[in-house]
Amino acid sequence: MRRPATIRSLLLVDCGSVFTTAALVGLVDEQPRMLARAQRPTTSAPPIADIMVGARDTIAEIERVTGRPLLRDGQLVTPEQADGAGVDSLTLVTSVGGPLRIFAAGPGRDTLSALLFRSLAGLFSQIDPLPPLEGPPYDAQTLQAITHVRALAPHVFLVVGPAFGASRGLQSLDATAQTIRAWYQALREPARVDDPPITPPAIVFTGQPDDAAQMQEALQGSAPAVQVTQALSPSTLTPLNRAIGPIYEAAALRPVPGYERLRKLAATPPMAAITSLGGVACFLAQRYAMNVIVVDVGASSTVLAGATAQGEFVPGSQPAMGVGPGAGQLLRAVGAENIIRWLPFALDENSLREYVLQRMLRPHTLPGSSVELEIEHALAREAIRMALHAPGSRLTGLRPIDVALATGGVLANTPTPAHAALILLDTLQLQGITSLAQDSARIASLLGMAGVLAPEFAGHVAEIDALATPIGPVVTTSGAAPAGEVAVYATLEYGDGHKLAVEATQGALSRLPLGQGERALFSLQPHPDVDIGLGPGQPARATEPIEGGALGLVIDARGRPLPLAADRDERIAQAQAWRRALGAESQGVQSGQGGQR
Amino acid sequence: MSISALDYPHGRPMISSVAVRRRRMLPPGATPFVSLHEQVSPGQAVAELRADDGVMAALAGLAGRVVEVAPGDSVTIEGAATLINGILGVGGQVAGPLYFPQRGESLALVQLPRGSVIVYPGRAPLTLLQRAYASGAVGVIAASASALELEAFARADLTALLDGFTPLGAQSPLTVLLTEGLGDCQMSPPILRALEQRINDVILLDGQTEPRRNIRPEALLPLPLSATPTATPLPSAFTTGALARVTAGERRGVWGRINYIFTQAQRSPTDQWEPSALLRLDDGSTLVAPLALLDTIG
Repeated sequence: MRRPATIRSLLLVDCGSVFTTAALVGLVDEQPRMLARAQRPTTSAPPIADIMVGARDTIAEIERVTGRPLLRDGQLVTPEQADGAGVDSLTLVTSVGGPLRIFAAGPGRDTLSALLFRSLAGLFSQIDPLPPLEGPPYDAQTLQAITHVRALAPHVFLVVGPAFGASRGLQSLDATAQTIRAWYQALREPARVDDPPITPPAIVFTGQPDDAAQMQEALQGSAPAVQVTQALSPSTLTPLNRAIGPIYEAAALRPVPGYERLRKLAATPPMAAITSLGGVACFLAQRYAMNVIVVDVGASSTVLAGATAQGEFVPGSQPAMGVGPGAGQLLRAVGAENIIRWLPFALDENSLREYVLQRMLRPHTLPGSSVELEIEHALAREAIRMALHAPGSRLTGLRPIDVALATGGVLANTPTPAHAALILLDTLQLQGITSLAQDSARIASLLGMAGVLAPEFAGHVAEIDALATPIGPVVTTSGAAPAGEVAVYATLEYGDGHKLAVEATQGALSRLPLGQGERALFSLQPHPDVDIGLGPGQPARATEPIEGGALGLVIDARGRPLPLAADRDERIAQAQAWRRALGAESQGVQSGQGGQR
Repeated sequence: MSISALDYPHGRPMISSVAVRRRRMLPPGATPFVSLHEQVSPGQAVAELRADDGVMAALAGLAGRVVEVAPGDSVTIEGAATLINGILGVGGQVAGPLYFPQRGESLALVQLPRGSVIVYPGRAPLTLLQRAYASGAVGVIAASASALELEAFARADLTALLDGFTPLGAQSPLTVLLTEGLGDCQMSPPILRALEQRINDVILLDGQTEPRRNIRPEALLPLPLSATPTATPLPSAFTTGALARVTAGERRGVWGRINYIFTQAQRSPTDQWEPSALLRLDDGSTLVAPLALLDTIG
């Protein structure tokens, strides 16, 4: 499909691994707005095994809701017609084929790992070390390693040459070539008869030209051509990113049944969800000249897209950890105790494992009770924590976070905004004053891609519709006043002149009434040992009024890092008290009912 | 509105008659007993392995025709069968006669026939799995099981197994198929009836489960070659009149007929807005359930 000259309407499609979402944006009173949104299960596996079916169902639902014909004989009606039918263009965001799976090897892999992860952090990729391997016969341990790598179906073998100035390590390059040859042989010969065939991974080399030539020569005849790119250094992170990026579509997306037909509907190449979210984060950061983080916990992956006020993209992601099919990997990575600690009721490990396995076994299902919803939110907390500290993530250095936007299947679809707020407050290491918002329209992940085609159009929708539910400003303290003492004295001065003074106790969450659209001046006087972002004991007084949100103004005086009680019963009491304070209680859970599934 | 249930690769958990083609893997060193185009019956040995402790026969498990023989590797058979897909399974392909343990018998002491596939319509306790293994049974079809007990028995982390990381040294001692999945559930009545009608018949059981490719464990109850197979996949779209079953939450296992599909999202039990259907249950009561929590079963 060709790019249109002007945009009056866009159909945005996000084909995720579990659900396909579509949104129609168009002009309302000459302003770009979201007109409708629909979501249907992604149909990549049997019994349907064609992602076009799920995409068509999603678009048909938008046609039903709006009464606007969008598809005719399977083709997009484009451009927008005089009678209102069709749209000017369609954009596609997708993660349906899973992440690009990269196995890294080579003499520079470990010494340059920080640069390697930074270079690839903005891509939807999973990087694992390529285990050493020699030719057959294989022992049991080696067979297990082969099974493991086969299960991940690698797309790329990435060879990292020695660091600049380091010894060229000729022998080590030869050893790497030998390992790659052995892996090619092992992947060609299935360990079990029913193992599916594996497409041989591409080989990318990053390093000095001499080393590249040696690697090419060593692999000649036993592996496909080696793609060579510039050596990694702090100032040359982009070349590797640009070399790997295009492999994603060919290796991860094209094999998905129905992908080519869906791809043909789009005006521009598809974008991975993390890249699209990054676009939205950068737009909002530049628009408000603030540090922004967009948090999206999905069924299979978790993405944190940060952006500095200058518009620099600061990503952090866990491409194989989520609350659905990705819950198993998350559970293995963090352990049951770390998930259970977030629950406001007692739960045994067996019940947790059964829930996680249930979500893996039925990817399209949702929590069926309040207990299950709490478990899903506990998984989301750990998934965010893991993404925050993912290799290559620099998000812990993004300070202060001025705006945090909750989006995606878990965070944008909570029973109340308070549930999303508590998850963000529990996991992001906030400090000082942060505005929380919830993308209740669940459109943010679609807009970054739209921004490539029509930046102003998409930016306007992001500002109005993605930030449609302001949760409200939050003051987060660090340091600690003695238990039970006042951590912060807060005063609000409303527009009509009346004042409200509140004492926020150490260890507690407090809400001050300040509704959406309502504005007030505030002042904060912390305890001498408490820091609200300006230094211990330093007071703050706003010169401009702040606007409230669904939760009013929240003071989180629990301290950082979050002091979770060691004793189980105390921890449950804490979790219940924090939920009560924000109004995030789930029916049937607070009383302890349903704790054992 | 068109939304389909996607949990089963053929659209439904049970199909009364399907055409199947299955490769029967032979144990290393086994000699095939059958030749190309030969008709085989389910209880017929298709290969034999002579070992120090006796002769081991690999049963066909299906009634049908041999369409491929790969000596030392496999025998492929085409036939017709009633297909039962479970939600979770462990272990490889096995064949054996169906056996229902006597009700009231202590599972710790019960004698189970060697080479049989045990059917247990409730939550299978670890004792049953251990007893089945000790007795020389080849498989168990149960409604459900505890996650930790099944992991202990299979000596594997099930989350890793489902992600495709099969530790080669940790194969399940016998094949297990759970029709309803983990937790505490009873077997759905139509599946139980289908199994009860085939007591002592040799069936083919496979525990392989890969949710990402929607590969589910299966039990194939052989049918005569003359049986008329149904085209698959069967429609699994939620439509008015379809039979549906709740798959999660407090009403898990309840089933009824879809009376109405709401055009607008409804509040779910977790207070979220979800596309939903109104079910009329057996006892005449109604239930509003999110489509994401339903399977079509008929």
